[in-house]
Amino acid sequence: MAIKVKPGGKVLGILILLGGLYAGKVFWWDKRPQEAKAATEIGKVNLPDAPEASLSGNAAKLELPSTEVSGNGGTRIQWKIMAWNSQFALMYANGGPKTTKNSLIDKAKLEVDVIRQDDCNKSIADMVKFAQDYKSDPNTPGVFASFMGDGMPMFFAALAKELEPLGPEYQPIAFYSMGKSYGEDKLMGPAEWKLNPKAAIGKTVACVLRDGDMNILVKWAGDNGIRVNPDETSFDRNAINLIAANDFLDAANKYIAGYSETRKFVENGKKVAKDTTVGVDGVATWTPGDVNIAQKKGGLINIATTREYAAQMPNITITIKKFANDHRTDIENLIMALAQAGDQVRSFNDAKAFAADVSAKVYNEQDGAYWLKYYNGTEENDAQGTKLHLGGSMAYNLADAANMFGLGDDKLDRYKIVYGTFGDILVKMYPELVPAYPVYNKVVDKSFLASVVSNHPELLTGAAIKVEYADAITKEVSSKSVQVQFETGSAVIRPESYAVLDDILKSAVVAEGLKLGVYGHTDNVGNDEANLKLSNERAASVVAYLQAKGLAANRLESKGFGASKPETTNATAEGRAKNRRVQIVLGN
Amino acid sequence: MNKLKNIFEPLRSINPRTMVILIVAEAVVALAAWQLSGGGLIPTPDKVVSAIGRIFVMPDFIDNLFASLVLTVKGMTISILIALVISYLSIVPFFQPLARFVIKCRYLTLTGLIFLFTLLTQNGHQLKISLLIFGIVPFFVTSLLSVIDGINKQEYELCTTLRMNSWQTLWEVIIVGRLDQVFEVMRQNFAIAWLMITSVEGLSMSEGGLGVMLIKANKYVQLDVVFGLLVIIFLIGMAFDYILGLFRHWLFPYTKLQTR
Repeated sequence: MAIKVKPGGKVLGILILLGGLYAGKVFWWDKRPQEAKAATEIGKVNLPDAPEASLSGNAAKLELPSTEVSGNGGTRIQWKIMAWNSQFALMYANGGPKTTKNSLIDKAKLEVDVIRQDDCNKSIADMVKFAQDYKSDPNTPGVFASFMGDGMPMFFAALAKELEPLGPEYQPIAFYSMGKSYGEDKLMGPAEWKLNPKAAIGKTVACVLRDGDMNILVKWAGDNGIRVNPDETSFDRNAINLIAANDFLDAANKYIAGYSETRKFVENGKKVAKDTTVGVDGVATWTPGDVNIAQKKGGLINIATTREYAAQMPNITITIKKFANDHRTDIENLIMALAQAGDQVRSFNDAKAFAADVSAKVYNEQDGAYWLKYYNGTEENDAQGTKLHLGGSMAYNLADAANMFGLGDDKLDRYKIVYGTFGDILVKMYPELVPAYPVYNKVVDKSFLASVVSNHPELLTGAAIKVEYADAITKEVSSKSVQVQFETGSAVIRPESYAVLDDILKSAVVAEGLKLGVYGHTDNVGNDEANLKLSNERAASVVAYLQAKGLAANRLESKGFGASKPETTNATAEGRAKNRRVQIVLGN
Repeated sequence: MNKLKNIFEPLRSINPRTMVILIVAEAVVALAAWQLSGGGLIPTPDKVVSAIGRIFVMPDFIDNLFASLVLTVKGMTISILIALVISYLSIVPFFQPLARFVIKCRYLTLTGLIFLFTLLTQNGHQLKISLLIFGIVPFFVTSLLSVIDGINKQEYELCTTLRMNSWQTLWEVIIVGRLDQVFEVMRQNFAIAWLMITSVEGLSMSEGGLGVMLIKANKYVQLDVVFGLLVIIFLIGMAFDYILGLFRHWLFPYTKLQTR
């Protein structure tokens, strides 16, 4: 028999049904004892001994944090990060997505929520919102965000402008670096580019425009004296051209899927009404973009990565100036926690594995073993059987962070150079988008780190990351000839050439993982022996200049070749001027 | 033979059974063509089916499914309420400009607005809901207004004859008289909500959802899982379509009448 129900009753019935389903989900499904994500059985994974161990011998190994949320009632902070392995120190220090009992951040009396956010623009929006909220209510939980260091000029340009109406106190500042990309960001290209960089001229690279990965390409091209065409709508036969991708994965997919597009030719600086079709020859991307390329298609090798350009991509953490100044003690305690975490992660495999497990929880993706594998970096065969190095990140201890910001022994402010280098590139290539970027000293506040470094020398026991430089360069990553003016017949550098040498210094600082070779060449005027001696002395005097600026002696190599390796003919004055040169080589 | 000729003839109505056979046959042919042409990077139907099996047993699949459904149902409910208010008020001249503006909002994309909405909302969940609502409401209003536009003049005249004032007319003719059409409007526009699910869920991944699963599978180019998820999303969309239709007929039995 059918029951007659009026529409009103029927609507009620539908609502009750939906409500019942929802209640069932909330009160039964969510409450049922769930199989917690099993911690990965780390014992079975063959880990390399921590080769970059920072604590030696009888170092104190801390007890691993618990997995229970602490709720210590300290200052609350929401930390927005993208799924990036350079944050192992934070993962270990926090013990979980929320600060756990007995973790280093718990001991620092902070409650940190680590929130995954892959969209940088969204993080910028969150920062602006936080500044507004904090201005109206000082009890608002703090918001931190971490980005790649070479991209900061652009983020800061955007953020500083957005925050201007709130006043100078509410400008963004960077205060610490907890780690870096160490191999996972890269330019991938055909093998011939490695042997002969000039082979990349007139070819294309897919990448996210104005992104850190593109910076690797731009730097590599610049160090080889190759131009990059900034316009993604035209094709220049005498430069490397860019194919714009949505994101780093799309860049890889464009290569995998055999994407091509039609471009207008550039001739003598003008677009002409002649089209050409271009495919994707190379890709600038990062893990897992490189993994996807290797597994799905193969055929590309690493041309240059953040392993060579080792200072390019530190992980930089920012917040709002006023919040940082109001919570100075908190921030210094946090820096101490992160620095200790860096030492633990670097020195003890189970601390590293723990950080990997926390990463899987925070990013809610893959498992600990996956993040660990690509933190360490791994050698895999690609689809065409070529061996390829994939992934690679590094957690910083206090000494590394100090070195990054010029508070280390060599007083070389690496981050200042990175910030300036890539800020200038941005302004040069895209003046219409980024006409200017904030000055370094306005957006980087070293006072927090400096205070920790001077008040807690005991935290500096961890050794900084050491790069082993080869005795002599055997593999060139880039080579470029520069004109350095010397006093006639002597090795004394003329002051007008200091700017050129400072550019070489900057280039070498960013490429922290590579040895710098300075090779002197002369023309064929005069006798060979004198020329050889002069070119040797001139190369040595360039090296001396760079050493005085803070570059370590074992990073530098100088040689003189006299007139034995002319670049062009010695028959004309113009040719001879070209042959009197200093060749700058970065390699290992 | 005659039947064969019929199915290729324009304006020819065929019996339901033949239609079903036709649908099944065409689907089988399409799948077979896909299976044979697949390979390489494109996953074949059998791979997709096995991926669906794997997706079902993923530990958090139910939670993700529920997250997406709750988000959509919430978004749809709030949207339809807002849209109803806007469209009913559009009968009052004062509110006409507002309704017209809302309709034109269909042409806005979310890209630049995410920043604005972030500043206006409290957390990720609110942000997702409000973006979803912002995406759906213009379409709802557009459809509802066309429903209202389509009302026969005689109905208003009837109300005037019955000595109703204009507010009573609004109630009888437009609000009560067109309640069944609301379900039709929701049904037609549900696809919009479903389409936006990936783009809004990507903004706050911590809550999960089918869109988040899709984004992650896509990150590792697991195309079989991606296609599997797409199939699941497609089927759920069809199910919603069917359920909304069912509700309409169940709540308003007169809609089943065939008037010719």
